[in-house]
Amino acid sequence: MKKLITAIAGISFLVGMASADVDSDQKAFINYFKTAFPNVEFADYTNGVYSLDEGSRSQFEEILDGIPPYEEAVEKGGKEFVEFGLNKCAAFKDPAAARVKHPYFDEATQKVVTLEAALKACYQEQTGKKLGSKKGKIARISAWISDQAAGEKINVKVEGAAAQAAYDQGKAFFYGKRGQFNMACADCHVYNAGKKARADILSPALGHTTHVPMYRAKWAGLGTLQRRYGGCLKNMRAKPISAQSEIMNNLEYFQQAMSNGLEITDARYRK
Amino acid sequence: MKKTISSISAVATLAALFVMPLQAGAKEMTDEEVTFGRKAGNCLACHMIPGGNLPGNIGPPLLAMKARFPNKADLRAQIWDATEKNPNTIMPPFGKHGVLTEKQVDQVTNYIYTK
Amino acid sequence: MKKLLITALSVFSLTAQAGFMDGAHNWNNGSSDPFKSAIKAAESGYKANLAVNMAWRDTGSMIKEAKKLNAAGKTAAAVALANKAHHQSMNATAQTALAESAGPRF
Repeated sequence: MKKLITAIAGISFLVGMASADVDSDQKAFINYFKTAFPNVEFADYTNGVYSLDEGSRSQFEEILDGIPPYEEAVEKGGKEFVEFGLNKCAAFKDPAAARVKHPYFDEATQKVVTLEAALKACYQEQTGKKLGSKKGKIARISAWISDQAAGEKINVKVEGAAAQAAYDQGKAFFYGKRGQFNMACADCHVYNAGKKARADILSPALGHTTHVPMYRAKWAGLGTLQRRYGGCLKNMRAKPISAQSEIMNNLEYFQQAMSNGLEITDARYRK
Repeated sequence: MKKTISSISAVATLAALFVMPLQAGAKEMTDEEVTFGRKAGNCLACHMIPGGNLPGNIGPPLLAMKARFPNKADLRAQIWDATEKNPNTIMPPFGKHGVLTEKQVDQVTNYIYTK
Repeated sequence: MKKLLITALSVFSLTAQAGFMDGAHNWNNGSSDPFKSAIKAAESGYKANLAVNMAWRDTGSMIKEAKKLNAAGKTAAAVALANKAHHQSMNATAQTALAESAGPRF
């Protein structure tokens, strides 16, 4: 009997360990960066890698001062939003609110719904056609929607056991080593953020989701957060996982939650 | 006639496909090429190494290796699988995961050991 | 004489294998068709990695390439590549156990 109780206590302890709540996770996360970069204000992490590196920041600001290379594409996304009747979907009646609401855990489907997933569903409903997941139209429209919420704060909620399970899966993915190079997302973007791989400065994971979809000079175009996931996985010599698959959505859910409280920004330029 | 030509060219293409990897393998990379090459060791991605351009700073500079690794085999073991000593390391297990061949691990070890 | 022949033959086959294996372990479990068993091991390992989102980038293309080599009659090279793919999947499987319980170190 005693053994049984110990076993049950042990199991519940383990379960408790695995699902630390989001607030305490984020507190520890922020604290890690605060210790690593004592001079960087929390709010500045919305600028991603530019919050850590003075040199590239001035370049970044110069680009923003002119006409950013993505401006036309985002404008086009706004026109497409209306053209394809996306404003008629309940989810997008108020575009700014839609950006803040997503990603969220849908109890009905027991799955995380990202902004792009909602866009894809709406697009199909309105046009009968499929929308991609990574670049082009979906990135333009999603960027325009996110622009409407610029200045508002990321506020992802993880409530209930099923939502917690999805979050935990995303969290384990983030910290787990994978691929032939045996690297975790956290290896670069937490433990080595601010350091250089060749000439590239590794961006901090805190603030990774404030400026998505992003414009990358390397892409010469816009791409969704999950487009970047695919590229990152490939760099680690792991097989890229389809954008908008359950595991990638759970990873995004975790990442967005870690950036809670940071301002959504329309400064989408990244190297 | 046309058929003959196309089948000849098909055979030639096939032959080229099979011969090419052999030739690529035959052309030996120097120790430095294996160490610096982006598609080989790419050690500069993370380490400063004297003589190498645009190094990263994720790992420590590769200097005074003889002092740091009096036993050369320890250096080789570190390159082959750094997780053996530190499971959390960001350094890829170059030998264990087959990123480099055993010979290439030797070449990198030799090159770094002179630094 | 017979003994000498056997020794010579086994030395020859071992050397040949060592050359093709590139230092990797021989995963052939003694089936009559060495390619069949090697590719089967690689494929089932890779499939298991895919199911838990832990597959490596090149394992799938290695399996494809090994099949092509085998079809072209280059059995030794095909077996070597299939073994390499299997080796990758084994390493990915070892990662899976660690990744499942991964979390922050702060």
